[in-house]
Amino acid sequence: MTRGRPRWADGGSGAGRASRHSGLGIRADGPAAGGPREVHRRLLALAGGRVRAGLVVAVACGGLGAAALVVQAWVVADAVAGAVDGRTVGTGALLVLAAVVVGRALLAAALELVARASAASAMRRLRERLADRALAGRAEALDGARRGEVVTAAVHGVDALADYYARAVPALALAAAVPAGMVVAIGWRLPLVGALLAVTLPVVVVFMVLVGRRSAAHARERRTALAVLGSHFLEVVRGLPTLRAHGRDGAQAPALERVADRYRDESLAALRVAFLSALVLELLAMLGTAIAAAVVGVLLAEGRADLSAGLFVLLLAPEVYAPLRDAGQRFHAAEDGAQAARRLLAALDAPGPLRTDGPSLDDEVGPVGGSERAPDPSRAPLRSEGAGVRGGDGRPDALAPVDLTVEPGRSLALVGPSGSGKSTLLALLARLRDPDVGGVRCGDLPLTAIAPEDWWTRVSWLAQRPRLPSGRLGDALGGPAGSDGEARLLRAMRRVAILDLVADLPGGLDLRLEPDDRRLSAGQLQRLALAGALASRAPLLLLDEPTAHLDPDAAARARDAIMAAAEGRTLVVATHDRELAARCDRVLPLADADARSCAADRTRATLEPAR
Amino acid sequence: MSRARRPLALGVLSALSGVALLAVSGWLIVRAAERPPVLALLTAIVVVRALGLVRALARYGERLTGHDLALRELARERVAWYRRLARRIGAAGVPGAADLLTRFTSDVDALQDRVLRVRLPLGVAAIAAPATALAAALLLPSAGVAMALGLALAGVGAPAAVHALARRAVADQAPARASLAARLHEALELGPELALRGAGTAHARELRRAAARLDGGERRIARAAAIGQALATGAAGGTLLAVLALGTAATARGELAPVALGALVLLAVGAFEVVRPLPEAALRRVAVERAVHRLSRVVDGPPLLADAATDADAARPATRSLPAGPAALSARGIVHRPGGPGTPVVLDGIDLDVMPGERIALIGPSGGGKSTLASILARLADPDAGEVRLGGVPLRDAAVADVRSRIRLAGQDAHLLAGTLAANLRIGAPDADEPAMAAALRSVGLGTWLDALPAGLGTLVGEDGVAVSGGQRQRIGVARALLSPAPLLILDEPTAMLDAATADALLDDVLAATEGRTLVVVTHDNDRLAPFERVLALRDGRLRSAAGGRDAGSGPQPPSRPARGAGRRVAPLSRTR
Repeated sequence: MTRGRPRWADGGSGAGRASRHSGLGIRADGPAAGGPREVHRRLLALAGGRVRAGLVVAVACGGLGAAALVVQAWVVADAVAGAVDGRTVGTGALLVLAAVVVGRALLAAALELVARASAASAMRRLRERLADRALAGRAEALDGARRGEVVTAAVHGVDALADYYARAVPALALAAAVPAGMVVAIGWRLPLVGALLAVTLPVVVVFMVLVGRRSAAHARERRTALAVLGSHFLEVVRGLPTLRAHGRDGAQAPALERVADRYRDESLAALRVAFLSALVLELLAMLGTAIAAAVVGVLLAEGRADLSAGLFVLLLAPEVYAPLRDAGQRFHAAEDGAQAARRLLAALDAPGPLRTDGPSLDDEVGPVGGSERAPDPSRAPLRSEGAGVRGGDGRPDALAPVDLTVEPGRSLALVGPSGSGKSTLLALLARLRDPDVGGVRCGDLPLTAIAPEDWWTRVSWLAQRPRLPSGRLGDALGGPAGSDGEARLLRAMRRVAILDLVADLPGGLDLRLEPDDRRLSAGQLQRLALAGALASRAPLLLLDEPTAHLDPDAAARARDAIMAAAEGRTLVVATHDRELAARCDRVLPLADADARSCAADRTRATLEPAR
Repeated sequence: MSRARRPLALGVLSALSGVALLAVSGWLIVRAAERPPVLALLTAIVVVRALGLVRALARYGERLTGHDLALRELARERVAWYRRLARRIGAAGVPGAADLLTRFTSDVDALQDRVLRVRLPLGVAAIAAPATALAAALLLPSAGVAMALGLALAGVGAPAAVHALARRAVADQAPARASLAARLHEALELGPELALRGAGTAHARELRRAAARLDGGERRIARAAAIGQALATGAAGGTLLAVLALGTAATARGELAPVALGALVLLAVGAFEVVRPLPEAALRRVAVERAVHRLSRVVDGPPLLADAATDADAARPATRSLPAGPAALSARGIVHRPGGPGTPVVLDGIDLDVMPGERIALIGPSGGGKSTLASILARLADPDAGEVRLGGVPLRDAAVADVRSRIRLAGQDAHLLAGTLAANLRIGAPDADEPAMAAALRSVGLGTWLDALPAGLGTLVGEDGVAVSGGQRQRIGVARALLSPAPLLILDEPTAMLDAATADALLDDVLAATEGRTLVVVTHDNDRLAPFERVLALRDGRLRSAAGGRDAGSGPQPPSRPARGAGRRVAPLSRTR
């Protein structure tokens, strides 16, 4: 996710200067998933037929609205000219005008409705896609901060997209068609003026493109400045608990002000130029209209045109240029709106931890690598054949290639210093991720050939820092109230002696966990999750540091419970706990990253019986 | 003119010259059709050009000053909300995690629409629309009335309808939004672990349900916006129709000069440009109001710490300064529910004395409140009952800054801000020089890591910087505390996430580096208690002294039998309950 994101070093760039004062670096969003056009192209591809149809309808509404405008100008011009000649307006003309008014109102409403509904549909698709991917193990592992950004973009991104669908897309499509249509309509009544406008139009368009390029650069600069400011603020707010602990929270407020001042100055300097180009366009459009008006005036004064035609042209002349001006403005506004979608697309694009076979990123989430039924790991041996995970970015490997066999129904302890890859190896066995090199097999089948959802039913897993999903506590650990799963859970809780702990919780197993629930401490979570993992009937038990954070009594009980639960099942446990390791059938020491780099390139599991 | 008024004045000028431009053009065309001498038209032609120029220039000025104002406002809002959050962070119900704080900043950023897209268009319309109706009334009173009614419908009725409908829809969306955010968050965080627990399908179903409910809300908002557009466009067209009918009739009756009719009709065409952005502004206003609502819900409430130095509360005694020299820290009768009222009592009558220069380990079962006690001793939170004093002065009566300069806590959740390693270390001590920072890093066992970094202390860490493991991040947090000038340091789990050898070395180095300073170490690591002079166990909300060193492996002693015989490592504790 950091690709394409400028780094703001101390010193040098404008952002760097800011960072010297704030003491912090700041970053801006780069084109992580392509430019705005690319973002919207992909969004359209992803959004499906209904959204595309909706946009066609939106553009059609805009086109019909422009046509209605021509009719309105015609009726109004005729009516005024007639009145000047002493005639009153006919009922027919008023009825036509009324019909046009109603039609324009309905078209405007339809445009808004269809465009916003399209934006909502596109966003819904994007949300569901992201969620499916995450649940299928195909979303990139994000750190907390980035996860927050993605979630915020997913939940709040619709407004910005609505701007794009309701304004920018119709404006762009109409800018291509309406000016020419208006020129034709004008030329029909007054050919000379039509010809004149037809000549100015390409000049204005060419000029517009030239100026637009320049202003696009400035708009980008402004967006970057805003993004830098926004991320500086985000960074300070995220760091607030730490800053507060060191009494530096107060010092950040003036720093925020200073950085904001500097960026406002820079931003305004860019805007002065960016808006200048809009000014030039406005003046050009005014010039065109003025020329048309002058010609009309002369034609009228010389009696070579009638008032009705003159008024008609006068009413429509600004409409020749308006769509162009509108398109430019709306397009830049929509680029701002692309930001949220870009963030989500970037999250979709990032490679997930599981290998994917075939389906491209914008397709539906297909089966991830394999569809075979999972063998029973309590009957078939589990083998790592040189499986390893690279560190990336020049960091040491997260797991150096490992050869090992876990015999069915036996227990294996993974030991070694932190950073040696114990957790990573467990994740490979659980298939929470796939190895970069080598492979893992159960029996004869590579795990990548097995449907992950099926494999996961065979696995009971305890993470190093367990987190429980929100909702009923009992559901998260065992199963719904009164189920078999809950009965097993209660037995497991008795074994690890946390029935008291549960009884103390408000509502016991019926406690409803909230996101970021701070009623449970890390230690309580650990023990609850351990009971949950032991209560599972899955034949493969994978436990990551099950006795860490436990006091000696609790750790002793946990060891007993783990070994009891491992009867008839395969157990792999990563642990610093020597006693727990000693009770396993085998112990596999993993060397730490530094030692590995100078020692042999592959850890050979010399599976010494521990006792 | 004040900075806040400038964009408004320019906006009104631009809007009115736009309307006037059309009206004068209408006059001009009709007058031209009367075939006057060309000279008679010249003034009007010059006026039209001038109005066009004024409109374009005023528009330019409006956009520029408007953005200037919006950026100023945003900066002001950010600082103001930051201050309010800073007063409350750590309190129950205030998000503390980095990912949840993202939401806070995104809500603050949503306020930037308020100036440019809500207030400015509203202000311009409020002045320009009546002025236009007045001009129409001067030409033909009945047309003026029609214009006023039409403008009121388009400029007040339509936005009000949009606002009312959208506000209800957005408010009804709130639970779906919260549910989607939480579920998506969990899906991204736990991912396949949910599937592994067998909860994947249920979770996916919940997510889709929340997404569908949110989508339903979006469609209601779309309908509100569509109604607004229909009303506004219809009002504009209807007014044009009425003005045309009234004007042509008046002209036919000879009550309105033909040239004035031309002006009037084009005035009716141009007038509605002024109110056109208002239905959209109403939608923006709803979004801004929701953001303010969410923000207020997070940060409203009394400050977490009453600060005598900053609170202008006359009832509070004046700030007392903490003693300058070595001072004992004493806690009496500390009772605290960290989750707020109604949640379990975690600390239930803690008494504690820490002598200057003492080395104390604080152990106890996980979830027993060790971290809570640590944050109360460092006055990151005030206890519900009881008092902490330093050198006899209650911490509550001292300025928070004063407390921070005496007591420093390195918590478990040390955050690395995006920036250089040096900038991150200087959070602990703003004036620290490079040798001091390097020494602090060596004391926490990051010497070799530092040496291997290509840019040394200038290396970027945090989001886009080099990868820093959980253990390293934690140790950088300890280094920050070591750099601080505080004579009393509290370290919360400094050896968590470290293997045995590293943990041993870290503890030795930290003890050596803090020679002469008072040290309280919160730890679950009962194998490393030997170096401490005293070991205290926190269990069931109360403190007991426990055997230090390797004896602690057998667990803390029961409260009725303080282990008095265990040598200098165990000191008797005064207990009140």
